[in-house]
Amino acid sequence: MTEPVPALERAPDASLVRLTHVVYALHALSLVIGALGAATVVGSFVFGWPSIIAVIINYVKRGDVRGTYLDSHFGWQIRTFWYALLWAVIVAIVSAVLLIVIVGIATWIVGLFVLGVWAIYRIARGWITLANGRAMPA
Amino acid sequence: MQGTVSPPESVVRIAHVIYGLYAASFFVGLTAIVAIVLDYIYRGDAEGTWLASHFRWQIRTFWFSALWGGLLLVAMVVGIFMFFFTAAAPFGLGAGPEAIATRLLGAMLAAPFTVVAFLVAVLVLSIWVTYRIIRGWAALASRQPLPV
Repeated sequence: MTEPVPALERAPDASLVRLTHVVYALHALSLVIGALGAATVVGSFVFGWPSIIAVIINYVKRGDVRGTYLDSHFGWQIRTFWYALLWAVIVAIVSAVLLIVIVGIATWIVGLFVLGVWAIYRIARGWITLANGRAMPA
Repeated sequence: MQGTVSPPESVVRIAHVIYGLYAASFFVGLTAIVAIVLDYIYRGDAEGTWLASHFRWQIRTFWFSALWGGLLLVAMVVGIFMFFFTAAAPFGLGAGPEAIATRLLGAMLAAPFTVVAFLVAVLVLSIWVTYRIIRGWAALASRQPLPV
């Protein structure tokens, strides 16, 4: 069921809607590369070049989507990237320290697996919401 | 303020190709050389138009990344050699075999850190170049000039 677009918002260019789809696709590509290839899904998600390109597109085009529902998607995508990076760094540091007592191996594997699942959820939920033409929650 | 003269469409297309070549240079480094040569050949045709800022943007991106990449590479090599030459100093071993062994060991232990620092710096540089290509190409697609 679709909600009516608030009266104060304007409708975005079709090209910008397509671009937002491309950003989700780039993140999804990074996750697939991570799941198939790289050591961890979230590591690939954050450091994989498709994700870096995606977040750069987010920042370069942010001004163009202000005042449209795409702005909420850009915010969702940008936050997903930076939170994933932050948590990956925290897991890496904690695991490096705990490696001394062996537990670090477990925290690394479990921590990054959970993070990978979270990243998949974020991209899936965002992309499906975009496909329905709706905004993401603030 | 940009002139009101429009650039020839063929030169606009060349600018697109050049952005594509710079993007491809992440996979095949040589395409960046083709790109910078094209930049110098065609930038005269864009003078006085909004397109001129794009050629400037591309040329600066090339030289900035080439110079910084070269500097970082030299810094990494010099760093490793410096560890080699200074590693024995604290132990006052002179120039005998123990000194050489200490120096080699010092260099081997320090080299990974030097290499990692180099790789991190190159990663940051690559992200900057990626940003330059995306921002420039997006502006070109909208036929907008770039800041001088």
